[in-house]
Amino acid sequence: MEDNFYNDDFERFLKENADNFRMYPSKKVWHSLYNDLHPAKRWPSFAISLLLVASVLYLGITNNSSILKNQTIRPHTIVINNLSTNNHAGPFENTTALNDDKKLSEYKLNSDAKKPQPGEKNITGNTTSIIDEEPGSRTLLISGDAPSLHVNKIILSSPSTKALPQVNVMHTLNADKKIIAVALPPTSNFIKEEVNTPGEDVTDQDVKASETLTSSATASNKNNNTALAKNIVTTSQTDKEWYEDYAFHHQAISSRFKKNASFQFYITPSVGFRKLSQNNSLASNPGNNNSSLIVTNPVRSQALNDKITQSSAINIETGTTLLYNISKKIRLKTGVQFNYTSYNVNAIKLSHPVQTYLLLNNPVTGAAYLSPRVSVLANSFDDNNATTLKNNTLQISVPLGADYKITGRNNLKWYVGLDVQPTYITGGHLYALSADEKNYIEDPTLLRKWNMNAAIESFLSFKTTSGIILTLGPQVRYQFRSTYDSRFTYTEKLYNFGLKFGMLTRF
Amino acid sequence: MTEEQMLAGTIKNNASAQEALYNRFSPRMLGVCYRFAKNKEDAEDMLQEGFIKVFTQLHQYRNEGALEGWIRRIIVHTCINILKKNKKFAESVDIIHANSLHIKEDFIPSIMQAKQVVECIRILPIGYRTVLNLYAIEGFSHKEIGELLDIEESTSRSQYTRARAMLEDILIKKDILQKNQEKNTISMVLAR
Repeated sequence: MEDNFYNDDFERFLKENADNFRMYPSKKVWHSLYNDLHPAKRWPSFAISLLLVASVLYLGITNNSSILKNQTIRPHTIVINNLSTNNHAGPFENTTALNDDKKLSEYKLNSDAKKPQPGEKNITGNTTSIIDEEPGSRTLLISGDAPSLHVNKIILSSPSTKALPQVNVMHTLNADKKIIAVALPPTSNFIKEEVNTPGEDVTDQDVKASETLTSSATASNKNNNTALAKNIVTTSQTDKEWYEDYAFHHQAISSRFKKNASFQFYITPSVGFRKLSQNNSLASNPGNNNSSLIVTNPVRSQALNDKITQSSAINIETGTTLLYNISKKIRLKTGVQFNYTSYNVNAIKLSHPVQTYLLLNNPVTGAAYLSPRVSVLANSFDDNNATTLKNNTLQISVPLGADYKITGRNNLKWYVGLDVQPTYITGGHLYALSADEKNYIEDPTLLRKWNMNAAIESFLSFKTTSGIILTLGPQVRYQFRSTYDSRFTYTEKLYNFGLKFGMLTRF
Repeated sequence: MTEEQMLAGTIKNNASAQEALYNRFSPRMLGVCYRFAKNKEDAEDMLQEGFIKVFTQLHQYRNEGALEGWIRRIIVHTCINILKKNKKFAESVDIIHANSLHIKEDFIPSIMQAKQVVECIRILPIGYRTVLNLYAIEGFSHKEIGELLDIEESTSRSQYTRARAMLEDILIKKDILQKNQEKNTISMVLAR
């Protein structure tokens, strides 16, 4: 490095300013780092993450709607008074809506703001900004030339809450420029502050002295649910342009995405069935002389599905889907889905184990062969004294598909949807039919781990007054590959008929 | 937690020590990354990759010089390596930009001076910005910059000269700097 590096005021100026600049990374950076550094104890685990995300999103939906509802009734207010002038009238020229949950880039100019109350006036010629650099805190920053900046009163109000927030006046700068920064809590509570008298600097004492005002103001506010709109008064054309520029350069992609994207949570109770078929037999292996090991089934001439007593059972499906509109009628969807599939077969519990065989495919030759097993469950050819065997699986899948709007406008629409679902089977109970079809053998190793499902649905969507869209309609789900892996000579395809209930919200 | 405890814990792969070290240095280092990056998301990616190197190479730190300087050097090199993967960056840093390049003043935010200055640096073309960051702020020589960016030393000098002129122009337009016409020198408007 060059020794004469600081030979220039300009470079020193740049260096000092750059060194003073700090930004606070989002928490995901540390979490990613942690996962990279400690792969054995990834934080948070995949399953917990999914659960958390689902919970947070669900809470987000419900809270968003309630917040929106509350805002229309009990808005927050931030008003900055200048008592050094006595202009008591006139609407705010430029008003920026402040939302507790939004960052600077999401503030938009709002020309519909309410007029100031008597005794309140804009800070003419000054700039007002919100900075939001540190997580968990927000800062109201009022800056301007000293002669024109006489902030006398800062009123922050929210009639919906009672707690007193921490409001800290951070600093003032030199004589040429004055900056008053007020740290706002993540949720602005009611507070009424006499910050300073005309011409005086802001001090911490001024803030503390206002606590008495707070309680009385809070009490009065309980009776006043028609409080002022939630505004920050700005009159600086420069800042207005800056906000617009900032929004333009930082929000375009995000806004387009938000405009077209939505999230859906759904649950589908359904009735599950299966279709059993045979994909190989000993007859396909001419050299096999083990046929004698299979005792002839008395009903062997019947169709396979008639030789067993099976019944449907309740299945459940739940998941979250990200939907993205690519046109007025079509939207793509993907997400994460959990399925519990189930059906019942009837069997009779034997008092002692019996020798039986599974008919398996030789993975090399493809020929069927008999694999000896022990069973305590006999196939029940009738329902008398039968025990119900619950065949079930737990599945996680990633649906990929699209919805098409058939018709509808405004609040009521009719869609059809189709998706394919690459599926991973995390576990389950599986009772395999023996080669002679007389017994059942529980063998979880026969469970195929990866499968492919598809679902077709038709549903009505109804937009509620709170903005949430409810969907309801029938769905059919079909499993393309056998529940059993390729070793087993039987093929089982599951299918469900269900009623899907969904709740959808925009970002 | 003292710096020694942080260092010892981090070398032993202790998560709380790693987090303490990260919390102490990440805000300033993200500021460094932000000056090189296109946006905050890219800056965070740089920061993450840089800190992985910091954590995995910390045993090589010999207590010679400030720890922050050592970390900063790794972060800067990480930023440059990431930038160099972008073909457009390689082109922009090697080509002398036309004088007709205009900077729209409206893009410059007006919140705080340090942020203002950084934002002004960030609106420079990527090639100019990188050379200026490395030379004026990170203290690299033009020879080092040439080796780091695979360009001639003379190219680094000319890039810096032009970057500086452009930045001065922006800062003056924004009233952060003031040009003294008589002495033809630049002075700072705001007290540091």
